[in-house]
Amino acid sequence: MLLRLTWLNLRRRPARTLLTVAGVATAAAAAVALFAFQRGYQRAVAHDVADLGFEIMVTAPGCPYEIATVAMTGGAGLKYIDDSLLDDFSALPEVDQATPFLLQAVRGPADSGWLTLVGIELDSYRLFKPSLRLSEDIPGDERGRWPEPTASREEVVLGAGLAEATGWRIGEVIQLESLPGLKITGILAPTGGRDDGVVLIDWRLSQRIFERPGRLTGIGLRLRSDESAVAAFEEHVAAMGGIQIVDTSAVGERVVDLVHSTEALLLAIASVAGLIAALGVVNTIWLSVVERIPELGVFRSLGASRGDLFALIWSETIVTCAVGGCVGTLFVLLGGGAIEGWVRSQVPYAPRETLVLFEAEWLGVGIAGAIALGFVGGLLPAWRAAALRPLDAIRRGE
Amino acid sequence: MAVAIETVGLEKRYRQGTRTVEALRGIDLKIEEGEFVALLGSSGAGKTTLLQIIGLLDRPTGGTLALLGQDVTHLDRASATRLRGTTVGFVFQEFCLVPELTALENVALPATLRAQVAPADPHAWLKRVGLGDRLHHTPRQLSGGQMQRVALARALVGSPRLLLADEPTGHLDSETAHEIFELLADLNARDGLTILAATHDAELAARAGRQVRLEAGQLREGTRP
Ligand SMILES: Nc1ncnc2c1ncn2[C@@H]1O[C@H](COP(=O)(O)OP(=O)(O)OP(=O)(O)O)[C@@H](O)[C@H]1O
Ligand SMILES: [Mg+2]
Repeated sequence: MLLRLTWLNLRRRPARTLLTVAGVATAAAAAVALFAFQRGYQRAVAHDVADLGFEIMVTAPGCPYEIATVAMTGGAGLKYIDDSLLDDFSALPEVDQATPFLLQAVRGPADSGWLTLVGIELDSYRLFKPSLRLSEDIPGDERGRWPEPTASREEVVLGAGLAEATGWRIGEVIQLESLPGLKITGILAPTGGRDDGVVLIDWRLSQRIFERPGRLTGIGLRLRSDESAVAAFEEHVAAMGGIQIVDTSAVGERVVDLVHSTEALLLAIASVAGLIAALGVVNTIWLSVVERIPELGVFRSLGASRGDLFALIWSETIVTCAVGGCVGTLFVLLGGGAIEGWVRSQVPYAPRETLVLFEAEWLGVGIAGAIALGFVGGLLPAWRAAALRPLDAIRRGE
Repeated sequence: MAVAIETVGLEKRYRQGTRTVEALRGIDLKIEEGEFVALLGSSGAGKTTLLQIIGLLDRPTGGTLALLGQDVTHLDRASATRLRGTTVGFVFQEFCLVPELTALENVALPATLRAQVAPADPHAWLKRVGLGDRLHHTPRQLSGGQMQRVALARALVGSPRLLLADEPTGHLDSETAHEIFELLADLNARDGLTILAATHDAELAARAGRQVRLEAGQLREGTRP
């Protein structure tokens, strides 16, 4: 019933209450969106880096971020290196594993955009990605198999997402641009990463059909884990010319750092929004207390104590803020897709995974933060109401 | 019968800058339990001031006040609030109802505001003041007389022993005013409620069992028009 009274008081000035709620909602939405994005982006970048499987890539000289981005998300357009480098790097004692890759892009079927053909050496590639396997629940009775690791058999496997999007099935021979027909021998189990959307093809086959003999986009490396390996590797690389070494985890960290560096700014914006919302709430409730001085005086004459009036006004503030917090959080929850789209259009490198990650924690923080705002913001007007002398309050109303 | 209200040499001085207004100058008033007393006096005589001091909404600057045998002159604020809630009922010239609440909710307001108070029976009190068929009307849908009845029910819902009414009919036409005073007389006669009601109107005051007149802060007992 006290809450009903609270509710009625808030409804007396619906426009004013709505504006106040909107202010709190905006602040809460800003804060929640910010942190959801922060978390989502970091996680997505980390996932992409881990998904790549390579600690270190050897490529032609170029922007390391561009190289990392293309390698992580698919696409082509990078310069080539000579495939004899594969043997050179494999021969280095500090190199534990090496695997070649050759990225090519072709037009997908019926305007579906670009399709990345990732040329790999299956055996060594799978050492980097031990979790890679063929799907076991493909519709139809065929189980599928890995392509023969040879340049002469025109066979490929598809990522799970690509298979679903195109409807291509095992055994089908697909025709891409002017390439020879490629037979699908298997479909990968979903990985949640880049491999879901690409075609895996033997690197030698790719060299042949794209007419890039002796060419590679890069080599993925894993060094031995002893301490001297890095130093030895750096020494060997310094002696080689015409290549670029990309430390993928360092690239990932740099990207996350960039996002981090905006965090302080965004946090400041969210705080200012919160402060403005808080002042708005204090102002609104204060006004409503001043307007109701005679009424509050009558409440005192009915036996309401200072504490009772304090509770009444305080609960009005808290309810206003709680509603605002819920609305704002709900708004972000529903509008998450739109935010995601906007963010993707704004950042140079957007990981494939969901960028705006809603953690229950942050949704809770949005609402709890708004309620905390009400707790603090309500103190002043509530104190004002409690401090009214019943006599003054009633006299003023006469 | 016990004494409901007793003031001895009650004084109230208002200080306004360098000037002091002596609103009450030594009031000796004794009202027995079960009395219905009309407080007459022209404007500015000190009626409101006296009622507010007796109702513990204000403090005297001199003299003593006892309610139901208890000296309450120097009561602390919390006890005054408690006593106001349990012993005294107030009605005002303005009915001071919450416009958004129904009659029933307005009467339930004291209990709503004070979680510690046992739930009274607002329903019964609205019936008692003759509004049993207007429970769910809001003040906007009620006449002035009906609003004052709601205010009366709200003042009485906590079962106070004492009702203080400050010109309860000031905003009502004379016919309705008579009805309200009749209701007060009835509450006094049947429920044994002690009533002190301020009014300008000598004719209304005649309904009360006894009249006292305030003139410039001093009491003239029992004067009749
Ligand atoms: N807060 C105050 N400060 C200063 N003077 C006051 C205050 N309240 C009342 N007074 C003065 O005290 C005197 C008595 O006022 P009071 O309101 O008690 O009269 P009243 O009999 O109720 O008059 P009315 O019939 O007009 O309601 C008046 O002279 C008034 O101006
Ligand atoms: Mg008065």
